[in-house]
Amino acid sequence: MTQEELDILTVKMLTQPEQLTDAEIEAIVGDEELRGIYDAAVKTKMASVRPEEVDVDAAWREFSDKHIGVAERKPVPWFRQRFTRFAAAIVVGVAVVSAFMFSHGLIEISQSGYTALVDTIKGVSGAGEHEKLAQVDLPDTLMEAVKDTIINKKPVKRVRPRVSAVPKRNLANADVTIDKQQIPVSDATQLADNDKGVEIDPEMALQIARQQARIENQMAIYRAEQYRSMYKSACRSYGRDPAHRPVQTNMYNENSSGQSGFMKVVMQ
Amino acid sequence: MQYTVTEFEAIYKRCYPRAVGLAHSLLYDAEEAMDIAQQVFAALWDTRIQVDNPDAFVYRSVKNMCINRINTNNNRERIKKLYAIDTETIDDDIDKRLDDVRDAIKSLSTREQEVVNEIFSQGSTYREAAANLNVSVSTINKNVVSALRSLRAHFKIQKK
Repeated sequence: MTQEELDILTVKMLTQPEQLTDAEIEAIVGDEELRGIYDAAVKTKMASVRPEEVDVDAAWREFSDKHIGVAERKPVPWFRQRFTRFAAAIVVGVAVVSAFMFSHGLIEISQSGYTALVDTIKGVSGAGEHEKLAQVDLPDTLMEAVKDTIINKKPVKRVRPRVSAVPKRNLANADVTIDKQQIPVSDATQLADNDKGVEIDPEMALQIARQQARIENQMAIYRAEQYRSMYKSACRSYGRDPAHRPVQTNMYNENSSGQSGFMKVVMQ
Repeated sequence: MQYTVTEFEAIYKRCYPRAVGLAHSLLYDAEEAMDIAQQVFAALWDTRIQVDNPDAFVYRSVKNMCINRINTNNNRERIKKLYAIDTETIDDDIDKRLDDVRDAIKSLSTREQEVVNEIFSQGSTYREAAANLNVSVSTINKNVVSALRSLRAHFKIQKK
């Protein structure tokens, strides 16, 4: 290739590269002189590129918006931290369950009903108070209360058996179905009438007590299911494996009788 | 151990301008350069680990990504875009190499420097360069060719 041909091809390479033939492309790539000039042109171009003014802050904002989560960019305020939200979810759940229980009054034994029950037991034939108590079949929690009143002569109180005392019974085998129609709705009224001298059938009183115990069991199961459901829901919300391990925690609770305090809850 | 957002922001703001400049020098396209720089920083962030030398990681990654992009072009496309044909010659110390080229350009005649500036830096066509420098297109052709020959000779000597 003559010097003149080289010059012509150099100019064509720089000004009209799209019109280069395959042979000319091969010459540029393979010919030492042409290739040297092409490489010099590339280096000159690379060195001549004027750097653009870059807005680093804007580029960073774009980058962080796209690649860095909002949660990672800013410190999480306490009210948005996972633990706080987790605890809040549980507290709200407990409040809902308690409100449900309170509004339905399903586990209440009224003061007058309890008094009537005690009187009924006192009326059962038997030599002593222990013998009288031995003849009745009451749930453990209610029996304790009745013993306190009959044997220990403690004053009559409103009796709302604590749910935490119930698990002594076999909840898994509880086969009671809540049917509000079966609950002697007017038991409190009827038993209250007993205070005024209306006679009440002892069998009726026992049925009431048994029914109360069944309801008590059912509510314990219901509440346990609620806790389990709340816990699983919270686990799902916060990406935690509910089957990972049981969590034991103390939860503040207030039941429908106004008792309050911390209750130990083991969530499986 | 991964970078905190604050640490990463400091690296980003320190390295981003040079990363974009490097990619711009290799691809001649500002938008593409910024895109590549963002991709490299995204890769660094996504690794979730701290690298020993983040600055070197960024520049090497930008260079490699640019080379990969150049290598997707065949020789005809490379010549059309004036991309390097032999990308293996692009080393990590590209900034110094480009400074050497700038020094070499300064050794050209004034007219050649003007022509090189018009064609390669301003991106003017030969006709525009001729009009701007008040010379003929033929003169521009001659000056470009002579400038490149001089530079080629300069690099050849430097290589030896």
